[in-house]
Amino acid sequence: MEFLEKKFVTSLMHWRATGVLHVVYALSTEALLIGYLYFIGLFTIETLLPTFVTVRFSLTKFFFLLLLATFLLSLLGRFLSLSFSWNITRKSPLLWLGILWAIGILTVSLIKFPLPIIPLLIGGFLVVGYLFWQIFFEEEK
Amino acid sequence: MASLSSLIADDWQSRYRIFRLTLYLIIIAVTLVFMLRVFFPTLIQRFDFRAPQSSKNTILSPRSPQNTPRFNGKIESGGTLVADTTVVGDFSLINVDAALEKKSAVPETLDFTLRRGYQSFFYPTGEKISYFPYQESVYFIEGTYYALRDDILYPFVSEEAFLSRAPKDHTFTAFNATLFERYPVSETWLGFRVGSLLSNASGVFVVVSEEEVRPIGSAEIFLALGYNFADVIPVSEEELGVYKRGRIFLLGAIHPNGTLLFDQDTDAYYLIDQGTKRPLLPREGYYLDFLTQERHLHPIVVSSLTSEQSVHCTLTPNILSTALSCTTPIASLAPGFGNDFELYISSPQTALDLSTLSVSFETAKNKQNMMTILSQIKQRLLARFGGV
Repeated sequence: MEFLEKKFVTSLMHWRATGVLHVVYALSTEALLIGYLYFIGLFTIETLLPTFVTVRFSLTKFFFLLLLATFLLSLLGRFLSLSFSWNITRKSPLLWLGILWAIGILTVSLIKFPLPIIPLLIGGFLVVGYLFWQIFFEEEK
Repeated sequence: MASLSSLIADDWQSRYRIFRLTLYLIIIAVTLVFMLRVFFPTLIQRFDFRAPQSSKNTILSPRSPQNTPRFNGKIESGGTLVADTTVVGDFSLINVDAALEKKSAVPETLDFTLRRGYQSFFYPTGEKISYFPYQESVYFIEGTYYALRDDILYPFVSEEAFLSRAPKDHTFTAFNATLFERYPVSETWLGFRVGSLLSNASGVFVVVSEEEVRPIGSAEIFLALGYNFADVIPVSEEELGVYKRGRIFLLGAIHPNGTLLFDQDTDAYYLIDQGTKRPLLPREGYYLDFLTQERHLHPIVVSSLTSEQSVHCTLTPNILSTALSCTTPIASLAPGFGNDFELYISSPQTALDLSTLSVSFETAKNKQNMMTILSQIKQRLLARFGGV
């Protein structure tokens, strides 16, 4: 067992030195990003047409796979001493795209709710969003 | 992704570009496969003989040709298992997979046969109906129709309910108040002819017996059963209230008694009655004329030629001998005359014990099926966002 562990670590070191792992990392990151975009697309379709996607394809499993891949990729990035900083500012188009998408999803989701409940739900959603923003981006600063 | 390519050493750059291109090709291929699956889905119907009562079983009523249940999956040597499943669509190919229990003998081959139609049309032909089946004496007293049964007067819930069973001249219309002195009036109300389609604000129902109606699950199920919306009788809550509501009528349900079928190949009419299809002849007994001309009922169109068509394949064991499978085209089993598939598995030489049976229906990749899916998407969008 120890021999296998040693062999595995030696191989990893060798692949890192030769640059193979960097290629794997770059390709995996790109695939993961596309995976998240697909997830957003499928989630949007599911919101517009409930059960249309989920009867054919499990979004939960897909999301779990994406999270698992993200975790493994972050481990690989740490091993390769690579990290990306999130350059999301208030002027970033990505942020505004995300906000527009969230508004669209919210509108579609709330369309049949009674009017008085809608502000409560939106308020709750914004508070949760703000807290996540604080956790992921503001604390780093 | 410029920042990603900057991570790659110069001597890996050309290979990285090739890998990246390959990655994109794989993603495009996966997307195409997914889209094909969306537009042309493969529908898998299944029966688990270890959990025969499971609601997940989509293959129904496994039985012998003599209608003895075969819920345990055992087929004796020379025996046959018959079962039904219902899928809507135009299919090109099926894949049959019969998994065996560990202790089961492994047959060299199994014969598989499939035919398509309505389960009710697969019923044996019964005795022809040469008389008007509604024979009760009916009285019209003070605006209400009463049927005399076993010396008790049963009131009809409405005139329309009575007229669904018999023509107006069937009654002894003379007012006869002395009847109330001679016969007690039942508290049970009589409703519509068994087999009638009723509707009110809560949906469309089919009358399956004198006491019970069953709600039809959706418009798609209604149409898949061959019904016509013109035959639906709008009723009040009071008229519907004389029935208890049974379980929902879903795909795979069999037409109830009183359903009228018309075989377009032989020009013959049939009435479903107690597990048989009974021929109804024009001008004989007047009942057919009453249903089609007075009640303007649209019979469910069936085709004896199409229903007699079948496809066959021979199941052979896999490498591990844990299951037998076969694949065969089923384009010849065209849609239009029923969405029930009756399947037969025969074991000519070996007694065997099945654990699961699954049949995958591959949707034909054609323009019509794609348009059907697109139309369903449009309908669902309109229904969700209030367009319809």
